[in-house]
Amino acid sequence: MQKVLGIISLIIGLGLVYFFNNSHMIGEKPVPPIGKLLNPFTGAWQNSEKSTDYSDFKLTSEHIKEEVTIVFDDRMVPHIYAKNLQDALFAQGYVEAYHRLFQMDISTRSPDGKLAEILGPNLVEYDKKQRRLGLGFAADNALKGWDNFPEELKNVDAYTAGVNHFIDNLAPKDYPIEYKLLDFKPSSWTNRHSALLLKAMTQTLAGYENDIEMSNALRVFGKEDFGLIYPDRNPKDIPIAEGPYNYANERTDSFKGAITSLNLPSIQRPRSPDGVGSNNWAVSGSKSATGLPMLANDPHLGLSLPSVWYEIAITTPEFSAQGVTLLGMPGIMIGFNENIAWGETNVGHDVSDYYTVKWTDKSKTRYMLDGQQKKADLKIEKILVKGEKVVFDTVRYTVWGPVVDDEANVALRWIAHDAAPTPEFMAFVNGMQCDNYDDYLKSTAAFYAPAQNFIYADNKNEIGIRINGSLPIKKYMQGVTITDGSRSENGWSGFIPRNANPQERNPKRGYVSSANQYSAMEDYPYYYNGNFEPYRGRTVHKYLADKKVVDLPYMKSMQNSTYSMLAEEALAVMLPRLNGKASMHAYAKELAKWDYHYDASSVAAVLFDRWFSTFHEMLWDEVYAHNKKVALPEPDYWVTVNTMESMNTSKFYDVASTSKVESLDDLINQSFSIVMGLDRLKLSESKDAQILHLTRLPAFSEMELALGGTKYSLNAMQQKFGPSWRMIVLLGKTPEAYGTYPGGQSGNPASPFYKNRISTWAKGEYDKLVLARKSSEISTSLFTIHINHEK
Amino acid sequence: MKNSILFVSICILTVVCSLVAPWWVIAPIAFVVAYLGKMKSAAGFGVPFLAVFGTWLLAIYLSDNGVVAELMGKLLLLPNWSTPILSACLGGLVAGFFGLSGALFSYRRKTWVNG
Repeated sequence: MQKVLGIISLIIGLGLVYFFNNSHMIGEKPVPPIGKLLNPFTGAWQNSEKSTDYSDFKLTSEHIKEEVTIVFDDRMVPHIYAKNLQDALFAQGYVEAYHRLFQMDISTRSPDGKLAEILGPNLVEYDKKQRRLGLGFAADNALKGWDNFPEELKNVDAYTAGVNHFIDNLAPKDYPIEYKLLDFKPSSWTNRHSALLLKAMTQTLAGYENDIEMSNALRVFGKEDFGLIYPDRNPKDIPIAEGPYNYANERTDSFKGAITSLNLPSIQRPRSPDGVGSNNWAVSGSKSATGLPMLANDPHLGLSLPSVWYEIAITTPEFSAQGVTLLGMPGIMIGFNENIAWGETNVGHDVSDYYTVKWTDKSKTRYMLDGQQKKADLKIEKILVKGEKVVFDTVRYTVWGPVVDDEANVALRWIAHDAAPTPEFMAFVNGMQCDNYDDYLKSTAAFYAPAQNFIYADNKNEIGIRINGSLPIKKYMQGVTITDGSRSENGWSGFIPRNANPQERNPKRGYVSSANQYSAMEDYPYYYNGNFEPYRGRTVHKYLADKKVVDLPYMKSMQNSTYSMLAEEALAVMLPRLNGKASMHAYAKELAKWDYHYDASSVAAVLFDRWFSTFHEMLWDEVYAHNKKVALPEPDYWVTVNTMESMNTSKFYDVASTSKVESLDDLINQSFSIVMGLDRLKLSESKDAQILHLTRLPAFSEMELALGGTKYSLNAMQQKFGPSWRMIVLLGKTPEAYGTYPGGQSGNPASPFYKNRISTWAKGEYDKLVLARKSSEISTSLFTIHINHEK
Repeated sequence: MKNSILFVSICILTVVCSLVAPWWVIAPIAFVVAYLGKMKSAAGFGVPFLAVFGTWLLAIYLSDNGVVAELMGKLLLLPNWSTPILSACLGGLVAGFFGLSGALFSYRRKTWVNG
C-alpha cells in the first residue's frame, strides 16, 4: 500500500514538473512554462533591475584590438570610446544586444518568416506570407552584394562579433524575460541578421502596394473618372526639391504593359501601415537665431516597447557622434557629430510592382516569357512550428521575383530583392564621420533601399537634402496597375542616376524640408508615382516660409504642432454650407470656434474627423458600394478636399442608392446630421493611444496615453503610430542637441529604463543630448564597461 | 533524523544546487532527503514543501523590489502581492510530492528490514 501511494505521489510530482517545465495551450490561451518563469534562481525574478544594481565590469575579446570604454550616462545612453572604428562597432553590437537582444531577435525573425517557431501555429500564415514576399531571399542577395566589399564588410563583422560576445556569455538566468516567457534560447547573430533588418525596414517603408486595386479601379470607372477619383498628383503640393532640374528630359511615352482586365482580389500581405511617415527640416544660418543652421527630424513609425530606436554615442580619435539607430546595424542613422547633423524621412516612390504570370503546366513550374516557356525556380520553405509539425511551402521565383499569391498568380518585382551595388550600412557608418556636405553626399550614396530623404546641416552654414536611394526609371503610369509579365520589355528600364535624384543645396528660401511629399515638380525629367503625404509637407512650409528668425522654442513647437491643414481647408468649404438648424447646432458652433489643432482634450477634432469621414464615404459611394464586390483603393482625403473646393457640381455628389440627385450641400448637411446624433468625445478618448510591447502583451505595454495629434499634423500621433524619435540640433562650435522618444534604453520590462522617457516625450519635452568628446565630460554615469584585447 | 535538520538541509541544498541545475532540482533533493531521513508521510510532504516555499519566497524578495511581482501580476491577471507566494507554492508543491514519495518509499524499506 505504502509503495502504491509512493508511486502515485511520485507520478503527481513528475506530472507537476512536466507541466511547470513546458509551455501549453489551454484552450486558445498559451500558458508559459511557469516553473522556468517563476523560480527565483533562473526565472523572471532574476530580471528585476534596480537603479542601485549597476556596477562597472570588464570583459575581453580577441576581436578587440585596443582598449574600449563604454560609459552609460544617467539616461542609460552608452558613450563608446574606442581607438579605432571597428572596435567601436564591436562595442555598439555589444551594447545593443546588452539592452535589446529580444527585440533584435524578433525583428529579424519576422522578415525571415521564423515567428511560428517560437510563437506557435497562429503565426504560420504570417511566416508563409513573409516567405512568399521573398524577404529572406532578399537578405541573401544583399549578403552576396556585400561580399564584393571586403573592407566595408569588416564593419558589420565587428558589429556581429560584438553582438555574439554578449550572446555567448549569457547565462540562462540572465536571458531577457521574453525568452523565459516564450521558452526559447537566443541564437547566434550573423551578418545576415543585419541584412534582414534592412529588408524589414524596406518592407515597412517601401512595401506600399495597390496595383491590383488600381487595376480594378481603372476597369470599373474608366480612364476619365479614374483620373478624377485617383488623380496622379495634388496640384497644391510643394515638392521637396523645387528644381530647376538640369538634366536631359527622360520623360517617355505612356506605358503599354498595363493589365486592367483581370478582376483579382486584394492580396493581404504584411506591408507598410498607413501612418508611417516622417518630418525633417533644416534652417540655414540666415534664418536662424544662432546664425548657424538648425536641423529637426522626427520619424513616425509604429510605436513599440522596447522602443524602435536606441540612443548611442560613438567616439574614436577621428570623430565623435551621437544619435539613434535601429537595432541590428552598425552606425548612427539619425544624429549629429561635432560639425554636422543628419536625418531621414521616407520616400514614397512606388518600388513594388505586380506582374502577371501565365503558367503553362498544371504544377506551375513553367511560365510564358517573350513567347517562350521559362522554368520557374522552386524554393521549398520549411517553417518550424512550436509544438506542431513542420509546415512546408513552395515559393516560385520568376524573372520578376517571387509569386506572392497562388490565386492571383502575380509575381512581385520589388526593390528589396535587388542585390545592392554598394553596402547600404556604409551610409550610416561613414555618414556619422563626415564633416562636410560633399563627403556626406558621397557616403550616403551607398544607400539603396528603402529610399530616404537624407537631410543635412553643418556648422559651416551648409544645408541640403537629397532623395536618396535607388529609384526605378518608369514610363508614364508604369506600375500604377498590374503589369503584363509575359514580356520582358515591361520591366523597369534601369535606375535614375544618383546625381539626378531630386535634391537641394543651400536654396534661396533659407531652409530645406521633407515630410513624405512628392520629390520633385512636374517638370522633373523622370516619371514617378507612389504614396505621398498631402499636408505635412505644406505645413512645414507654412511654418517656415515667412518666419524671419527661427529659434529653438519655435523648432520644438513645430515638432509638437497638432495643427491640421486638412481640417482648415475642409471646414472652409463645409461650415458655410451648413443650412438652417444644422448651422445653429452646438457642434457647428464648436467647429466654428476651433483652431484646427488636434489637442488631446479637443472635442472639435473628433467632430471634424467623424463629419469628414462620413462625408468622404458619401461622396465616394461609387467606390465604397463597389468595394464589396471588387477590391478598390480608397480615395485619398486630399482628393475629397480638392473636389469640394473646386467643383460646385459633380456627378460624384449624387448618392447612387437614393432616388434623389444630391448636391454638394446635400452631402455636407446629410453627413453633419449623422454627426449631430453622436456623443461628445475628447480626442484622447476616441483615439485611445497605446504603445504595445512586441509580443502585444498588455503587461509589458503602455496602454493608456492621452495624446493629441493626427496623421496630418506635424505631431502625427495616431493610435499606435507616431513620432518615434524627435531630435533638434543647433549647430555651432559645439552642437547643442535635444531628443526624446517614447520608451527607454533598456528592453527589460523590469528595468527603470524600460519606459522612463515616455512621459517627457508625451509632454512634448526633450532631453538634452550632450556630446562628450571625453568620458570625463559625462557628468553622471551609471556604470562603465571596459573591454580589452584577449591574447 | 529531526525534521528541523532535514528542513535546513533542503533549504541549503536548494540554494546550492539551483545555482547550477535547473529549477526542478528541488524534486530529487526533496525525494532523497525524505528518503534518507526516513520521514513520516505527513512530514514527508510538509517539511520539503515549507523548506522550498520558504527558500523560494526569501530568494524572490531578495532579488525583486516589486517590479517583477507587478509584471507577473499583470501577466497572470493576479494581484501583484500574490505572485511571489504563487511562485513559492509552485516550488513547494513539487518538493512536497517528491518528499512524500521519498518518505513513503523509505517507510517500506524500514518494514522490510524489520520483517
